[in-house]
Amino acid sequence: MRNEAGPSDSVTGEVAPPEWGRIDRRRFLSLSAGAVALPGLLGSRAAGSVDALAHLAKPKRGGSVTWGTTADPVHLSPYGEPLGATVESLQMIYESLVAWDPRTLKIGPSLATKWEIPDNTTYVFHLRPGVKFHSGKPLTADDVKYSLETQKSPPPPGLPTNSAYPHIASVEVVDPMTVKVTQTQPDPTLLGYLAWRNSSFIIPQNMYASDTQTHADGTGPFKLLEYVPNDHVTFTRNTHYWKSGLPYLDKLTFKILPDEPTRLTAIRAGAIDGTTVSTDSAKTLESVRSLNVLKGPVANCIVMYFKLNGPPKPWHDPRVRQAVNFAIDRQAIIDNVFGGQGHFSSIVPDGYGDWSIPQHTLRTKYEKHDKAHAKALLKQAGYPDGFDFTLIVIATPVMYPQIAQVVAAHLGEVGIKAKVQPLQSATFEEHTQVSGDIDCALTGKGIRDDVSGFFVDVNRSKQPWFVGGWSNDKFNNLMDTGLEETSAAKRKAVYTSAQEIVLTELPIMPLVGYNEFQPVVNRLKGMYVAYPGYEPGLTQAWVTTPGS
Amino acid sequence: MIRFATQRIASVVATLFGMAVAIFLLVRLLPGNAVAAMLGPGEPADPAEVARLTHALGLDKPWPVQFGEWIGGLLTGHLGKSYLNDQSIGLIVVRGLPITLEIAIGATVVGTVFGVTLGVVAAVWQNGFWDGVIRIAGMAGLALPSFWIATLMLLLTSTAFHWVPPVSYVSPFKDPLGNLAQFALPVLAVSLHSIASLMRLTRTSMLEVLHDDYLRTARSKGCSKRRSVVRHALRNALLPVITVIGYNVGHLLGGVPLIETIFGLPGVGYTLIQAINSRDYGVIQTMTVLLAAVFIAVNLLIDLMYGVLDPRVREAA
Repeated sequence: MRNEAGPSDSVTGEVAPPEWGRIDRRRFLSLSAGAVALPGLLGSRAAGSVDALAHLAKPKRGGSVTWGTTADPVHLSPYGEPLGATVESLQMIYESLVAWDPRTLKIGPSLATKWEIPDNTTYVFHLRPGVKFHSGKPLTADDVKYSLETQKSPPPPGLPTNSAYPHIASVEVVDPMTVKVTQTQPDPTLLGYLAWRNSSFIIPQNMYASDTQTHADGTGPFKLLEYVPNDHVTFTRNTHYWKSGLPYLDKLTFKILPDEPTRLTAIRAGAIDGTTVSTDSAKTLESVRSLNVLKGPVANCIVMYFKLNGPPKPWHDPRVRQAVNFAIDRQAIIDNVFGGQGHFSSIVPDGYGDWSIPQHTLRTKYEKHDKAHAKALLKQAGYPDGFDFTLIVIATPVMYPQIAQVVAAHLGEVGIKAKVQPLQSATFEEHTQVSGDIDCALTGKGIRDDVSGFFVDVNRSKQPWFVGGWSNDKFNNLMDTGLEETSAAKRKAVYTSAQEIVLTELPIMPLVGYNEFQPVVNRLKGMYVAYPGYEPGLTQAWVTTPGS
Repeated sequence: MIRFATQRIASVVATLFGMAVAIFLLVRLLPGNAVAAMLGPGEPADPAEVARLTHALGLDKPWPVQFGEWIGGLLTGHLGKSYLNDQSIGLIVVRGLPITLEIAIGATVVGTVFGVTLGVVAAVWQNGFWDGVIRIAGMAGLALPSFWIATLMLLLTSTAFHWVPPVSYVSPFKDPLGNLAQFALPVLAVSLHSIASLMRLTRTSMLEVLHDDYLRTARSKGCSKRRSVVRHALRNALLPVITVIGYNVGHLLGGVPLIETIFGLPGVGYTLIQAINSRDYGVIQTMTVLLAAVFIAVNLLIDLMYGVLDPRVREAA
């Protein structure tokens, strides 16, 4: 999986003029946004810059970068099920005991240099010497104990829960640089939970006694300088960072610009140095000489949920779910919504280590587009003429309603009439999270700390409302085994079998994964699209003109 | 005059109370749930956790109790806290208000000055070239939504001049020129509708007044055209225009949230949109009442000014 700017990722060739005489649906949506039509009218330009030699340039210390983000962090407290926008900033300030390689997801040392697993419920972490918090306080085992214990039920702000918290029974300080974590039961998700850095940051002891919204004290590459809600978050370089030589940047600012056309104009004008944009917007920037459009797959997957409990519905019959599965042309979704920049997806997204079902198997077996087979299944299930249903979908980002419309079109070809109903996010979440008042829903799923996390929605121990009514003994046994087993090879076999069951019986239905696009100004080097999301690349990026 | 003012103030208080009730009910009748929004799009929520959060936020109390607590807090200055980040709503308002007021006041001033001026020019040179140009521009200003114009402005400046307004808020007290550069486009985008509507009304109103007998008398007595237009005609023509200025403030305040979002300005409007998306009831209620109060206060001021400008209104009151 390549997600770094390089010769084959750069744009070559000329930009075709807009085809005004023939406007397909995607193009119409682009024109309606207003931000994509005019560049074509202003004349095509030569190809965007090719950053072919970036990997040979020597990093330079200094300079500042302004990154356009899509949402306000709301607060900067490290725990409490923080929002994605919050984690984006927190990951600049805080670290955990271990860390993912953002490109391979291999777990490696971070604040812990090594760890031992003497039995299947015990982990012993040896802390890195010489690490200090931004306040100057040295990192010790007491800080780790306080952090792990506070994560379980954190004080406000945020939620007083941690849905990913591993089964930690106790945290013991063996000595000032050694921590022993004992679990209530074998739980192989601990290392992934720590590496994910979603709610597992290490903070100084008693940090929550102060105001965590205005006071941040981590060990990360950047220190919090200023947070102005709804405007920006600014960081400065941690001059005592334990990774020698890093970060290169003196200052980093996350400017909050939720409106995509605004981010586009800002990066065109150089007011920001990088941001994340949609596929359509990325195409409009391909011809801009001052920008380099990075791309790469991310650990997101589009899924459809069926309501399997409640009054009798077509969804109870697996043949109906399979019919929907085979009726949908996933390649058409990739081509029409993502401009060809996507891939088929299992319930474990492609690229999540080597856990996912291979693309070839998905395309030829589990997710093969076969309208005839879909119609035959519907006939067998007693729906020769199809049926009607309501498909709710989150209204923004706009790709979700777009995907829903494509799905509805495909289902219409086999007689299933889907009424697409876009909903604002809070309304959608009320339906899908609380009341269960849905027929069928389409949404996205992000990365998880451990492969088992992708199966939570179908795990009977969680009893989620919308898959109550589906049960598979073999699958249930696999879920139990997967959480007890610590051998990677054995776990892979378990979760491969689990995926095959899900892809066959479809209690939830994965659709596609996609690439993300991040245009950056030419002076910004070393940046890449990170598979787990957010911008870890900024911690090692540099600018060619530090004085600017 | 005092009785007139007292009557107006009493009606304002009643209007504000009615609006508070309406806002409170509308927010709670919105589809979606504050707790669900807090839980986010993760795994399905544990019903026990939902109940616990609902209780912690006080959302399981009867609505009259919730309303009473909120109103009591408003009147005593305890505005409550945001569900999302536990921050004081008062602090949130104080932070965003200067930005929103700058846009609103700036747009009102720009709209009034340019609208009235263009209306006078169009009326004085009725059916001439400039009258035609101004009227066509006025129709465009009324028809085109401000958020679309704002996006177009940004696109034009970024592609043609490689410039956009500063992305982080610049205080007028720290950098007046930087602040001007940042607010010029948002103010212009928001004010275009106001300019157009005031231009059209001023033109119509001036045309009526310009043909009145007293103006002919003034001219025949040697009053210059300029003096007769400015000193005599305009004052009478402005009476209905002043009323519309008050109405335009409401329209303006309605457009400010989108403009703040487009330009990345962390004002009250943008914060309100975020609060609505996340069903942060306390923030929505307080900010909406605040904006409503601003609109009502402006119109009260205009009603009072009307009494000052038009003796007939004072005597009737």
